Amino acid sequence: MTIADLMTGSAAGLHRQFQIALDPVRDTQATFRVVLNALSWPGSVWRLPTAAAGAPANAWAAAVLITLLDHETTLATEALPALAELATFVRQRTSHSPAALDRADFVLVSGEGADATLPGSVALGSLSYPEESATVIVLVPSLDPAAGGLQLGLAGPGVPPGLTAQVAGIPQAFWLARTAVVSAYPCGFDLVLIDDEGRIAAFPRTTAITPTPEEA
Amino acid sequence: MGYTAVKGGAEAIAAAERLLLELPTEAGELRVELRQVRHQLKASVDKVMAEGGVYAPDLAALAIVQTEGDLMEAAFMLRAYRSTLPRLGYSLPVADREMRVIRRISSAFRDVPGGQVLGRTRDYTQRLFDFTGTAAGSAALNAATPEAAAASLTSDGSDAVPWYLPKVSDAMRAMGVMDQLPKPSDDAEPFDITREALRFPASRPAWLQALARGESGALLALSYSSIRGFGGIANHGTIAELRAGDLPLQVVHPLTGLPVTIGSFRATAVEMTGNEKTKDAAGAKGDRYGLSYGIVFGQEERKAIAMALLDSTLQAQAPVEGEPPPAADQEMVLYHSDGVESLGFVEHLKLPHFVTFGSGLQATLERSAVASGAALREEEPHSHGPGDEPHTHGADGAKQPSHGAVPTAG
Amino acid sequence: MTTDVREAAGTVAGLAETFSYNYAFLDELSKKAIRRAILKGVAIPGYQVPFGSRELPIARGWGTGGLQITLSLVGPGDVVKVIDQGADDGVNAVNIRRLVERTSPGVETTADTSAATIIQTRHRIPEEPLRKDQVLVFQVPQPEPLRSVERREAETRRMHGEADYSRMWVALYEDIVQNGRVTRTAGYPVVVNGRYIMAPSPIPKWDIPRLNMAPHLSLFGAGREKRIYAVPPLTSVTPLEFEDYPFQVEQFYGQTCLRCGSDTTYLVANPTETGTLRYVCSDTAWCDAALATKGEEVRA
Repeated sequence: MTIADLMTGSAAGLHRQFQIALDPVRDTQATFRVVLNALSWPGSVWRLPTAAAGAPANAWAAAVLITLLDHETTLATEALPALAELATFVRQRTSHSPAALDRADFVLVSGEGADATLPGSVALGSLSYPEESATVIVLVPSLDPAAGGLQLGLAGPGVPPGLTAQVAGIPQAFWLARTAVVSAYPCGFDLVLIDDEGRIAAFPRTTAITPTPEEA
Repeated sequence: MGYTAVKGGAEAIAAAERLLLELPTEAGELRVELRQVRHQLKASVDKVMAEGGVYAPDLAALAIVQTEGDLMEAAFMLRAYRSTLPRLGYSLPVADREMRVIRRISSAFRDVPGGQVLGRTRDYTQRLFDFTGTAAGSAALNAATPEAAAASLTSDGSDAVPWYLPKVSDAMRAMGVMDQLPKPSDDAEPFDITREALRFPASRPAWLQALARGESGALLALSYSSIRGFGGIANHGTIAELRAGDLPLQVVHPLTGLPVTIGSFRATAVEMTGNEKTKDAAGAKGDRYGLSYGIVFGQEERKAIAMALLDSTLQAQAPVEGEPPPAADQEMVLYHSDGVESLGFVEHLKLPHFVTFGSGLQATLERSAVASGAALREEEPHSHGPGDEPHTHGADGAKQPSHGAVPTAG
Repeated sequence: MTTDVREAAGTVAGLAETFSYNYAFLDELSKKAIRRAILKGVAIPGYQVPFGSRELPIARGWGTGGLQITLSLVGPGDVVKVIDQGADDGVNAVNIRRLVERTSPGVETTADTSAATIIQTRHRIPEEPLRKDQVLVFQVPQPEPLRSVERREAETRRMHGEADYSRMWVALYEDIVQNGRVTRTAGYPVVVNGRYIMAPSPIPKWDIPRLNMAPHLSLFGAGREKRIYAVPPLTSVTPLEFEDYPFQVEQFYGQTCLRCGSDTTYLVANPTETGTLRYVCSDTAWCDAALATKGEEVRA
């Protein structure tokens, strides 16, 4: 262990000390490719390659956060003890900073936390800099199609005609609020869903999402 | 006669590289040592470190040797090397009054507190070749101890020059003609040009960073245009102080939380000043001496002065009417003064451009073919290939030229 | 990495003990910044995301933008194809491919378009249709399509933000009025997802229709200008055109490739001393494969 390792929060230095199972080079690269696929093909469900061993909650989401965050980014976390612990675990490995919900680069919430007020509360960017907007990560119970859930009609870049998705654990009111917010395109936010079995799906702001109410 | 495709790119590059493995030296000629470059070609090392944006004299020396003296290429190598290094952290801010001075002059006053210290400079020598080659080496010039280095400044053994000299601008502030320094606000993070792309209008920290590693020739030309009168208000046309020496590198100790000095680096800082005519809200006119700043790694004085001049022109308000002159135009100065970017794009013209060129040539040939009536068809020149549909693009997706089956080898 | 740099310094051998290169050259924090920019680019198709572009051992203007994207994507198992003007054997493509090979163990390189997972290209799209599992990475010299009508960055950013593209349309109109047609050739401006005007990099007009609703992801990197942008799969990309002056691709007037005989690929013309032109496929890998199928040169 050198002074350099102590001074940096980088995964490489701490990896040597703490023997984290997530390889800072190889696993982050593989994880990033899956996240990129998810965002490129909205609504399709993909499998994350690695979980971050030792994470206090959803080790798959921890791997995604460790892949994307560093000391130049900020994260807002829903006020749940499990998520707070997860954020701390990630922070030890990325040195990211916490930030208020309306300014954070990344937002971490549970399914219930993705409520009707969330879309209007996160950073949405500006006309000149629409990329200065949040990536919202929602931890959902399951993205397994067999698990059922709200049926979402999809359209937009990356979406083959007629594709639908099924997402349980996020209230319909969230989707309706999201539609209103992303109508101010290019301003908006981008959504990533991760379940605790390593499935991931994503919806950039360009995806039109129409929930169909579940059959009675 | 059959047409053979132009192949062999890989072999050509390999051959070009093999030629580079050999240096054009004669039998018995010694190879240049890194320490010879560091000590005897110091100005080159300084330029390469400053433009590379990395203070690493040995790496700079290696780059100079490897590029056979092409200083812009050498700076490029250093800059590229940065991209593989992890960022460990940030040093604490340091004020140049903490500089251990080896040279300090002021043009604004004849005498200043602490005195004018010419130091080791060529400014007042005659530019004559020394054909005797008898200059002796002196390890003291690279001395690490204050005593040894101070002794080197006074050849007659008189009192050693004090290390730390009061700043001229502090005296001007005490006089009341220059504003007090603003208090650094606690949460102001400077814009970091190595982490974010510039955005316009650029902030002063952003342009100072860009100028600090700007190519010295580009900065020289632009600043010269201003003081020559081509435009750009350089209010601050007088050097209040030029000081060269060593600045401490301080970081926060990760365990104790206290500042600790872990090394030092050579730098040259220039403060320029001048009278900015002011008008207050009531319309009363006044005089105020403002400050422009230039600082570089090493001892490239001409670049530090050029930088301060451009800091002055960029600080001044652009004229309301018309286009700002080059030295006052942020986009002109900041987009075109980076050596790595400019050499890259100018030299990229050596790359093949035959597809883009050919696209234009086809259009020219088309027009002359149509005009001369020697066209190969009488109809609308929309179709290509026998019997194909007009090649337009429609809402149902791309109409590709028909490839037929994908060819499979053998 | 030792902490006692002073001892090691002073000699080349000493430096070699201290300094080394990271996987895929870029350090991990650089990769993260580039990766985040890529994700936002995919979320806002055609919008140029500013990013902290890093310098590489290849000069600015020679493909550092595309290369930063490729180096941030690659990992063991990837197969990378690099072409310049359609040719794998162009010297710059060879050089870029070698850098990828040297710095990324586990990554293979290829000239076979169908075998590649990542294709980095300067100014052409391969003739062979790409698949959804492939990523096309473009090297971009000038990412700003409005630069020819407005030289200031601050103003072009506003124009994009407000979708105020009137000056671009006026410029095309004036082109038609003066020349009877739009005279722009390579790098023809396009509209992406019905919103952003985008510079597709200096590909020939020939390749423009193939960006529209492509099955694959396209990423664009401008290293010197520090912009990354993207066209997701299945996204509309339409060239700017007027109803009565529709977009037209380059014409070859019945010329065919002297090597393989193709009349359906983009051709490049090489002059002879007498002023005639000899046409061959720009896509050399395609041409080689076609030739192998035919078994002989077309004209002896």
